[in-house]
Amino acid sequence: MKRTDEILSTVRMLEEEHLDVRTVTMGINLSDCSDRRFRTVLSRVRRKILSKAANLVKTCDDISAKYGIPVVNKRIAISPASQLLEGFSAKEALLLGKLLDECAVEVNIDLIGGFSALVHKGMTPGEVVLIKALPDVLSGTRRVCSSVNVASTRSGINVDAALLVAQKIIETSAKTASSHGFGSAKIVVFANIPEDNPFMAGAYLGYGQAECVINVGVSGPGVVKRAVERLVQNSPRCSLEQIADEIKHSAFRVTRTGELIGRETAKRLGVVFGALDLSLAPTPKIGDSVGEIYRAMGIERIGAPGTTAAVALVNDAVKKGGAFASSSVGGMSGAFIPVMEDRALSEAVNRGDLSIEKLEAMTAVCSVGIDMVLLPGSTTPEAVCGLILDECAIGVSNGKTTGVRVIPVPGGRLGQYVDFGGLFGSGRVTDFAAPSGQEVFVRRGGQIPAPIRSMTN
Amino acid sequence: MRSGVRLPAMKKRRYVISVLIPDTVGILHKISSAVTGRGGNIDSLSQTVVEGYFTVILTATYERNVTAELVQGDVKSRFSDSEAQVAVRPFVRQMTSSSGERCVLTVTGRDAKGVVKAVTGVLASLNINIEDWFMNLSGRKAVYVGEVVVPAGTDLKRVKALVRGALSDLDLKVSLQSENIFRATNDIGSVHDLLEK
Repeated sequence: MKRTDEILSTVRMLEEEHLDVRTVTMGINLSDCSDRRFRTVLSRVRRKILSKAANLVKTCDDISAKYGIPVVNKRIAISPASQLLEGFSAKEALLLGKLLDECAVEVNIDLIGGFSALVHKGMTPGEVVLIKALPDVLSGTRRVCSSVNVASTRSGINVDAALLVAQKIIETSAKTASSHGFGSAKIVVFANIPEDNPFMAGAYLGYGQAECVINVGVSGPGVVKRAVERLVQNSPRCSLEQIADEIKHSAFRVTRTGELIGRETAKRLGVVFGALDLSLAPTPKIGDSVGEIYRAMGIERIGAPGTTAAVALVNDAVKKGGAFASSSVGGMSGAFIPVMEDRALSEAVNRGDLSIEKLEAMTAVCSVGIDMVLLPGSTTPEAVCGLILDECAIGVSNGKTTGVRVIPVPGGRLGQYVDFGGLFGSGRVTDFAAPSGQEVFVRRGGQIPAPIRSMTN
Repeated sequence: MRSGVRLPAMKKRRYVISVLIPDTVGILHKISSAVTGRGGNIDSLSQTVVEGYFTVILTATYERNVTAELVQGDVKSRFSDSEAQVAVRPFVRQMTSSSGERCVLTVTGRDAKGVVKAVTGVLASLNINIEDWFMNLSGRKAVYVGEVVVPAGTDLKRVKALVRGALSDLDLKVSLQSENIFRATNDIGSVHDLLEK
């Protein structure tokens, strides 16, 4: 018999602190679906997805009932779709996007990722086709998500690719103007993209992964927040070291929950268990916010000096707790700061406490990057590209993943309120302190060389 | 407290011994001394204290010539007159079902009459065996935790719904989950091994 307090604390995590498995994402390798005839490509893709993922949702639901843990999202991440587009045009890219959308509906998942290209050193014709097709695909589908890796620590930053993607983000927003540019919320631009990330919009099945794999994303900002609150309540003068320890313990328990679900799902489906990504991924619900953790730690106004240190502490403690809990930790595993999806962060932006520049500083120590930030309709491709380059520079220089997911709101003005609903949340349009002045720099194009890995002072 | 099971050697006698007594320091030492003093060996044991009352159930293996009356007398002799209630009976392997999904049932909330009766009634009707049951009352808040074995193929959601239905008039929360979730979140052993078991 387990100790009763341990049992009750696990039940409390599940029932009162919003602990859930945020996503079970099935990675499917589609590289064997290539063919000279595009109709054959489409039929192979459809057959493979439907055969591999037919039981994904039911299996997750059964396991969810067994353990009493909600599995909020069931998703698919395919190998980079650009592989299938070599020798084809934007027209075929749109057909592929629509087919993926239909497959997602058929297997009853909400999002399918991997309409992706890895272009950190250069672009193949198929990758150019994919990137150029993004506005049509993301506006013409509901469930397809895309990611483009434009930089890596080993290769540096592909500025040409970054500018091209930035232009397509603006165009995607314009094509989805009726939903305030929502199409752009389905594309992430990365540096050092993880190959096993289960979270959307950046999930894809990376090179070197198995044929079919289950990756799991667990969240739990509510659990961590309540653990910190209890500690502070019981020990009002507790040190930051004690807070770090408390977060580690919570991260351990959350991680183990995810591994249990992931391994059993993979076992039942007869596929490989890949990685477990413990990322404090917030939702707009009260009590499920990463920002509320910083508040509980003593950062009363998020964005105040000290916020970056708080993010670093949380991110590090989450990684340490997760690493102790499981040898299968992968993905991004840390703290996300998606502004619109996080109530406390969104409020801080609305109040003017949290600027894009401060968010950028926070991304140097968090697990992702500038995420779910609304920009004015007047934002130029060069400004978006400049932001991408800044984030890539942070990721490349620090050997970590960084990403940019911004939504230029067509016609949107500073302070305008936008609500995407559901997990995507709501927020107000914000802007750069200096929105222009980078044009000459970004238009030079080329490759920012890989950073030196010694003399690192 | 529970120790591992060792199979008794052939031509020996195994007994089930239970003792109920007001709790004091040293009770288990006295009982184990009584067993070993007659050459017995304790095979398995579970002990707890409820509201100041100590209770233990154990099995022990003796030489063939040791009778249940002797064992009972040995244990009783360690305590003052009528202080302890001691029962001893020959061990017979029980066929109660322990195959199925091991789960933990928790019921928490405002205490009320009839909770245990209502919950156990549902469990019995579904052939769900209770292996361990714990209840704690703190003020008016009650916590019930049961370790149960749910027969294979039983829909856990339905079980939970039926228990909730039986308690629908009361302000109580019910959860029913596979035991593995509690092992995973509280033990440091491999999750992989949990599933293999």
